[in-house]
Amino acid sequence: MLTYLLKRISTLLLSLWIISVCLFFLQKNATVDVVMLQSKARSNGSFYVHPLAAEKVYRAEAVRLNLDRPLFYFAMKPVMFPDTFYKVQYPEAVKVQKKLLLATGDWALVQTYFQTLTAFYEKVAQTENGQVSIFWKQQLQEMANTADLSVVKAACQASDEIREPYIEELRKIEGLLIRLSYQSPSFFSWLPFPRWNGFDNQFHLWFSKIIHGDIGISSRDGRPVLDKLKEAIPWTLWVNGLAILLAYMFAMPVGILMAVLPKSRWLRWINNFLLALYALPAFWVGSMLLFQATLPEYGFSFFSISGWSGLQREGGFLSQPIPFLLQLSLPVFCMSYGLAAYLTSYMQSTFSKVLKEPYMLFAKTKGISRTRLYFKHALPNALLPQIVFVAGIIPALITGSVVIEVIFNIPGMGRLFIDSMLSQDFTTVYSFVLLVSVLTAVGLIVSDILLVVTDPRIRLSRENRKE
Amino acid sequence: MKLKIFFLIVLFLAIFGDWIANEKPLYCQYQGKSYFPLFEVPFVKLGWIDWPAAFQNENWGNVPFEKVVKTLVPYSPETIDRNNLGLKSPFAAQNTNGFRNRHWMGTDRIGRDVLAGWIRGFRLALGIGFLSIFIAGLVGIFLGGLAGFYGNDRFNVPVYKAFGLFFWIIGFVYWMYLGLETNGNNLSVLIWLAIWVFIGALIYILPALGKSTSLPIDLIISLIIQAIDAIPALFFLLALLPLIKNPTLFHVIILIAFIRWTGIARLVRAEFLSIRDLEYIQAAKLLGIKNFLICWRHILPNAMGSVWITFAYSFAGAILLEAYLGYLGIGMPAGTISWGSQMQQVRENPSAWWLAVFPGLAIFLILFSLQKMGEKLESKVS
Repeated sequence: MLTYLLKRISTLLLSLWIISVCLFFLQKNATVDVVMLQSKARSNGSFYVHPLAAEKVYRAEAVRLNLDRPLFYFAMKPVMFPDTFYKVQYPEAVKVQKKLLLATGDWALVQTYFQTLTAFYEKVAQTENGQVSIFWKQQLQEMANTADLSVVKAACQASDEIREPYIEELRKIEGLLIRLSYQSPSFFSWLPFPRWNGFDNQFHLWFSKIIHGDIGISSRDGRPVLDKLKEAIPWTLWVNGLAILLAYMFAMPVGILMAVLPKSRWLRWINNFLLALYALPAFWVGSMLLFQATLPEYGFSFFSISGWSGLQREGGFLSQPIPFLLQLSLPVFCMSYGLAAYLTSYMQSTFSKVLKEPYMLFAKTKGISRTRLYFKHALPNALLPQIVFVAGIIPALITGSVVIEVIFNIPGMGRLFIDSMLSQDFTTVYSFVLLVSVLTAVGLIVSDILLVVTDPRIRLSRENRKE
Repeated sequence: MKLKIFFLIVLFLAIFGDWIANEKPLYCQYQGKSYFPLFEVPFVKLGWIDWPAAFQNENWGNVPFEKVVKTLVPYSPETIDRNNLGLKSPFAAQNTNGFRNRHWMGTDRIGRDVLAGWIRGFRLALGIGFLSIFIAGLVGIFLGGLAGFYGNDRFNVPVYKAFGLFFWIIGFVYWMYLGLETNGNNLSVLIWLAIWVFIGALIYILPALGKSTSLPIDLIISLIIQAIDAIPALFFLLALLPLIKNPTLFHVIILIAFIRWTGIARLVRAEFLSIRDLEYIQAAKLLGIKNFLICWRHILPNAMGSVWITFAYSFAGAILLEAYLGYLGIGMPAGTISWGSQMQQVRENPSAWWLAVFPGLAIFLILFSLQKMGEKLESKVS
């Protein structure tokens, strides 16, 4: 038993670690520039820097956000890559420099080239002389954003008048271009070179922060993600919790009744009906109910489409339970009917399975009354898998509640997720996915352990199998 | 039987939908010449048939044909009917010439025929569902079979080969990555890749010397399955989508397959685990039949019974996921017309019930019949 537990938990921890590594790299690869977003948020949307001046801005921001580190514990890059390649921060510059490096194989030369461009830009920026400096700023933007050397060469061309003030820099760049175009990486510089980056890397920092409960700062509004989640979780819990409760309250008696009643055509019809109920997509029913059925003209005046924001401001459930419950009624109904249908047929099958067990026959022959037979002997055995089942369906429920929350405008986790998704706030999105997957994995393992702990038969068969 | 007929109808709508709902007529006579516009499109693209200039413009309804035989629904899903803009109800008075051109399921906000879009939805849902489950089935059966057949203690290789394999895989990923990074036109990278493949073949051919060790294939695959299963499907899908700059339907299919293969793999693994020790398999092994053939001929056919059931349920799940994506308006390529995207419009126009009822009904019917089929298969297996 103990070894089984330890094995389960260790594989769980390992798979959670794998998930977090994957999510970290997904977050890094998501097509959004975090620094740009943050800077935009702080300067009210208008943020522009010249690509050659951007490196400085980005480096300052990167230090603030702890991004000036290698990505992972180790890296494997071709020999021609320097071990300080991660220090280039501006995404466009990373792209261009990588391309140039792969084409030439000489990092020192690429560095010199970029330094020359930057020096040129700084000189242009310092000596403001009207049209000429504006022209060169534009040309430099083009040069900095391309790895195509012929484009750079073409951008250097201009009339002598315009070239004259910066002739020295331009000659230097043209010289460098010729050197760059003659270089190509040697055959052996493509070989992989594994490097150990130590513990001072971005992943380690991110992961240790998460373990300490700091799951990051939303890149949209700068608020901690944890605060946002704390506001959202109660709503999701209310909806899901009520839905589960309602589903069980329906499924238990109906399922037992269906198992006990003799088989008939009626039963088959009810079974079909339950199957149909289960197949009915909740988001369809939800949007139909919300938009077609609950208009005040039909007597649904208690339910208002925009009623949530008011309730939210007034505080939680305890301050005004009745409008709160009324407002929750429709989403909870949408969440629960499919679950109820599924649970009912599940209850029916487990209960009728238990009824066929030999010990039930024995109890029957002893002459125990029916109610005692069903409730004392059959029910506890049939109930067990039901209760364990809850933990297993939590992921499906959370997935379902995303769409329901979006439809009914509930400020829960699902809507937070979709909102962050649409506003490209990937810090929230990925820390959210991590949180949900941790919850799910823990739920699955708890259900497994509960099953083993509560049902001696499973434990026995497992031990038997080992021998 | 009823189920079979239903699936046949759905399949028919999915395959021939574009011939049922299309703005291009089946047959027409224009300026004394006969055309079959619906069937001529590929030939016109190839330049084998020339169309008059009147056919080139977008609106086929306004071409003054002399004779015309239109399709059953004379609108394409993308056709914008400028006379019926802004949500015409199926029962409302519609500004169309004649009964024949009526919008039987109404129009949406920009005047597209809902019925034509609804028919297109069949192809989209079935295509995405079928392709993604097909890919997921291939991956799931392969990996699940591998994990189940060999388990943790039966994939025996010499220690040096195991290490060689490990380093070879890392190197292979590295060279493939570099090949992609240089767009496959750097000669030295390609030569290195060829050398690496050659080394791999060498490792495979080398004789089995020294001590043997068993690779824990089952552990590795189970770990991957556990990790993927821990993330709820919709979240996973939505977390993967932003990595793609311009998502196409193909990306959506691959992502759904990536999420769905684990369920199939888990089942196949369990089936293989229980079958691999049966007597007839041991007999086959003693006869010296190759492992692959044992799996393919003797284990897989017996395992497939319950795998078909998961296929049915996974198919339903994939269709639902596709509808979710369309409904949330995330991830599907812009302008895709599906049931989800039709239903999404209801959120902005609550009074347009026809945009919700018909697509939802289609989703419901397909899901229901798939569940029913799964149930039937289940009772057949047990």
